[in-house]
Amino acid sequence: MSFLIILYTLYSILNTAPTVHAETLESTSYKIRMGNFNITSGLKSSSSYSLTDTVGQTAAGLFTSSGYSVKAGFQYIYTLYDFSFTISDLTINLGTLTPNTLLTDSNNLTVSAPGQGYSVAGFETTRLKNGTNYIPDTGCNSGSCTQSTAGVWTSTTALGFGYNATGDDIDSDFTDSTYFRPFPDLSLGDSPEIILTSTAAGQDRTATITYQANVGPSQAAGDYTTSIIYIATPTY
Amino acid sequence: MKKLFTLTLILLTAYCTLHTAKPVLAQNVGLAISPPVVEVLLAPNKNIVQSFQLTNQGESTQFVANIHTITPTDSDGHSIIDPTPIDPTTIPLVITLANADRELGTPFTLSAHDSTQLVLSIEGASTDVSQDVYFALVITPTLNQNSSSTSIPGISSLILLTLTPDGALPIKLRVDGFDLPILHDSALPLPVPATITNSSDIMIRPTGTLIIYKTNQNISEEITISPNLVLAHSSRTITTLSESLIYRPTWYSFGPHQFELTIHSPGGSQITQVTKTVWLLPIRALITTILIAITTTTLLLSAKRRSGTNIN
Repeated sequence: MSFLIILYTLYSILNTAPTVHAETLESTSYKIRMGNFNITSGLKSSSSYSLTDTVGQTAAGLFTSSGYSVKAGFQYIYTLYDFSFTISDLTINLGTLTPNTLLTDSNNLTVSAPGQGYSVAGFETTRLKNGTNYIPDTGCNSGSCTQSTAGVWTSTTALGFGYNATGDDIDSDFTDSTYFRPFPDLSLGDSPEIILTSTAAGQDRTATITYQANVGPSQAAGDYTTSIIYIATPTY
Repeated sequence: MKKLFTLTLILLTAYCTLHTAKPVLAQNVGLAISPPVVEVLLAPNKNIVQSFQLTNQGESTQFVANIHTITPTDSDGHSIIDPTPIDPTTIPLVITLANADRELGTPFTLSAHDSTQLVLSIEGASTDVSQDVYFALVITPTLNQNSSSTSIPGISSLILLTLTPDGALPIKLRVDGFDLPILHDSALPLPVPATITNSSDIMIRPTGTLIIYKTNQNISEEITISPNLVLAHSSRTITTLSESLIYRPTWYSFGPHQFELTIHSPGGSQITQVTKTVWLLPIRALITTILIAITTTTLLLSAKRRSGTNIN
C-alpha cells in the first residue's frame, strides 16, 4: 500500500513541471540589425534629377543599380528597435447579454514604432451577427457618436455595440472611459477609422480598448460574433 | 509511525495535486516587421526584390501576407490602408512573393518567437509616363472564427514606389500656412507653422532651412528642417528632426526679424522661398514695467496727498 502511495506521490510531483515559455534566441554578445556592406555612396545628380545613394547594401539602406533605386528603412534615423504591434487577448467575450444592461470586455493594443510614429486603424468585418440577426452599431446616448467622433454612452436604453480607448496615443475625442464610438463596418463598405496615432517614435505605447454592448428585450437569442481588425501602419 | 508516514504522503500528494492547476493564458499575437518603410524608384520592365523580416512575438499562429493600397490621411505622414487586398490589374506593377514556399494570400505558419523573411518581387509595367504607386505589405493572423468574437492584429510595411522611364521627375511644391504674427513677445518661443504641398504626381523628399535674420541682415538662427517625404497630391507639416518648427528667441532679441523659409530639392536646387517679418518685443516685461510704474506713481501720489492733508 505504502509503495503505491509513494509511486503516486512521485507521479504527482513529476507532473507539476512549470509552464515553459519560448524565448527569443539571440547571442549574448551581439545582435546584428540592418547589416549592410557599402561599396560606394554619395550624391548623384544630373540636370533633371538628383539622388543620394549607397551602392551594395545587402538588406537595408539605399542601393542603386541600372533602372532602380531602393531606400529601405528610415533613411535619416538609425532605429534601435523594430516596428511591432501586439494585441494582449484575441478573444472578445461580452458574456451573456441581458436586455438594457451594459456589458464590457477589453484588451490592450501595444505598438513600438521607430522613426516618426505610427497609426492604428480599426474596423469590424460585420456588425455583431447571428445568422440573419444583428446587434446594431451604437449611436451612444441620443445618437451622440459616430465612427469618427466619440460620444458619451452610459444610458442603458442606448443599444448597440461600440468601443472606448484609453491610454497612449488615443484619439482626443475619447475624453474618458464613458466615450464610445461604433466600429466602421467593412460589410457595409465603411473605411477603417484611425484609433491610435503618434508623430513621435515610441516603444511599448499601450492603449486599452474596451468593447461595450447592450441589447433590447426584443433582440433574438443566440451567439453573436464579429471580428475586429486592427492594422498598424508606420509613418512614412 | 507507519500511519503517520502514510498520512504525510497522502497530504503531500493532495498538496501537489491541488497546486498543479495549469495557468490559463489569454491568446495574444504580436508581430514585428523590418524595414517598416521602403521607397523605390523603378524603371519600366525592371524587377527588384526586397526582403522583409517578420517576427512572431506571440504564440505559434498561421499568418497571411497580402498587398493593400494606402492613402495619406493627414499632413503628419500617416496613411490608411484599404481593408481589401489590392486588385493586381489596377496597378502598373506585378507583385509576388519570391519565397519558394509562400504565396501572397496563402496562409503560412510561424512558430512562437520565430522570424522569417518574406521576399517581395516587384516588376514595373511598360509605361511612358512617370507615376507613383503606394501600397503596403500587410500581415495578419488567419481568421479563426469560432463561437466568440475576435480581435485581429495586422502589421504593415509601406512600399512607396515611383515608376519612371527616364528618372526625370517633375517637382511642383509650394509652402502653405506660413502665417506668423506681426508682434511677438521675445520671452516666448514662437511656433512656425508651415506645410509643404506637393501638386505633382510624384513623391519627393525636399530639404530646407528656416533662417531668422535681424534687421542688419545678421543671421540670428538657422534651423534645418527635416527632409520629410511628401507623397503626390498631399501635404506635409514642416518639422525639425526632433520636434515641431519652433524659434526660441533670446530675451534681448528686439526689433524686426525676417523669417526666411527656403525649400530645396533632394539635389539641392532651390524650389521655393517665403519670407515674413515679425517684430519681437519684450511685451510682458513692458506691461509689467508699466504696471509697476503706475502702481508706484499711484502710491506716491496717494502718500503725498495724505501728507498734504495732515499738514493742513
